[in-house]
Amino acid sequence: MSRLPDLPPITLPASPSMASALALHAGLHLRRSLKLRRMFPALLLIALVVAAGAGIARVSAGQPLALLTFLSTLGVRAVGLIALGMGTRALRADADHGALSAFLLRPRAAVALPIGRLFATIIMVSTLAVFMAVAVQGAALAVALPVEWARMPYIICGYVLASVGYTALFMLFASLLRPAAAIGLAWLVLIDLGLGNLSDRLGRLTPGPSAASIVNFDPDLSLWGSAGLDLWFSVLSIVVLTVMCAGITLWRFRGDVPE
Amino acid sequence: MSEAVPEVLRLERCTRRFGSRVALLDATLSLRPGLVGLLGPNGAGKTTFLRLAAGLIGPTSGTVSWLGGHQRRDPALANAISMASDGDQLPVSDTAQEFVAMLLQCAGLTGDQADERAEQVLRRLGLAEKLDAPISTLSRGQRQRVKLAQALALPASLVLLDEPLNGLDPVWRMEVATLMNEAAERGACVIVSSHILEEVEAICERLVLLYRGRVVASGTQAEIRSLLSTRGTAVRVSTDQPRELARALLVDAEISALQFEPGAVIAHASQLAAVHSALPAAIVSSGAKIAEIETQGDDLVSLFAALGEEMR
Repeated sequence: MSRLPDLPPITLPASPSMASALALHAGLHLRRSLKLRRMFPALLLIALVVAAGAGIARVSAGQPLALLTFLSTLGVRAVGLIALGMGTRALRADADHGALSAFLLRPRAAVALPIGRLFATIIMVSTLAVFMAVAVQGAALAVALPVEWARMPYIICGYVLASVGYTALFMLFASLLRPAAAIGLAWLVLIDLGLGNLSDRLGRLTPGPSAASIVNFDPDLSLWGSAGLDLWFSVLSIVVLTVMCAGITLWRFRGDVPE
Repeated sequence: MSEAVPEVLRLERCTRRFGSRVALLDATLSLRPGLVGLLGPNGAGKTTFLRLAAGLIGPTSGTVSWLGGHQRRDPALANAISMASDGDQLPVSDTAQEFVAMLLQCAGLTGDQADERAEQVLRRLGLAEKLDAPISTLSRGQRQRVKLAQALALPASLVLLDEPLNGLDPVWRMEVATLMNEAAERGACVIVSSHILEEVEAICERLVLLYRGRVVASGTQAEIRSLLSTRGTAVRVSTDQPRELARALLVDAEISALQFEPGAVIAHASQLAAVHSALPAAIVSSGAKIAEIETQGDDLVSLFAALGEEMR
């Protein structure tokens, strides 16, 4: 065999700052994930929710408020499923193929990789969630259902917070457990749906019930009165849960690399 | 290797446990630039050693330091270590170039620089036609080369390769060995783990022998061989007159035991040199015609067998 050409020497820049390392990992994850074949499951789920919304709207046009509440809550569950797929994949796919260690050889990566990928995944899930909210409303309009525009900020806010909370929760699962997707699905069914319906307070341990109470907040009520307390409590629950999950994920990466 | 050459990796009384299982026990080692073979049977602790050396896991007790005392996660080690693990280690839905370029971007290259460098190293490893192919479509040998490409693309000071020649055909084994040599000549410490002794003996100047989590020997091949020669050894002599030759050998006090096989006699001694010095006189005095002289126990297989006996 003829000799292959030698590799030219390269000089690498000095260690990047933490901020640029974070941006790098977030950017790489976004670039890697924003491909049709990877987004397809999430887009299909959104299409199903929108189609279901349009269909139900057509047969229940007499009860617009109840219908809107139902659709918003359904949307929160769909956000949970999207975050489950994207959140677990963000860490688990590389860990399962043993490629995570190649990224984590860089000292900054132990912090920058999980947080960067968390940011990137939150951006993707939130964008899809907002797109879904708009599409559902569009579908409602298409079947001549009145849209309550005053509720839209709450719906979007609830979806974004659900995206943040769920993504952090499922990325934590992915950093700790190999069958993270299966456990996440069981969590959505047993804890999110089950516990959320059984106990209002305990339901706040998971993002679904909190996000559902935000999207269904009555805009005619005062944000600062007694009715608003539940709304703020829901926001606080999701923020605290997100910070806790992100903190534990980070701690997990400071130790041995997850396998 | 001269002491003036900087130390790349140092393990000081390192023990690593996984629950109750001890994967590495009390390992003390200092490695400098060059090609180092990490040898041991399956389960000896090679992968744990490499993961400790990469800083991917920490020791349960003891210390690991890099490049003259830097600790794990020290930003000064930003691009000092590269590794190709055993197993898949590849995201199958990325293309080869995407994957290597992504890791190079993590090392600080810009997108364009990373793409260019990834292409160079993949071409060097014979993957010019597969740059844009998803990794899932590559053969086992091609995947192995992608894995090696990402480790050899960086000018790292410590290059850790876990079973790097697995799945490669003889031509690519030689080419990868050349690349490893180039990295070592550049000043890197290249640690190559394998359980195939002959493979590592042929490539590496220094060896580290692991057995059941312990570093049982380390040094140059010559040093390891001298260690072997101080262990009990045997020489098998094929001859037409085994009994006469045995009688002549018995005169030498250094010969501890004799064993007969059809057409051969095996002389045992505590040191190989003792048999070698006794043989010429015994051959002359017995008048035996010699067909073959074969030293048993001077290779690494025998060393591991001996270690197994000692630790049983």
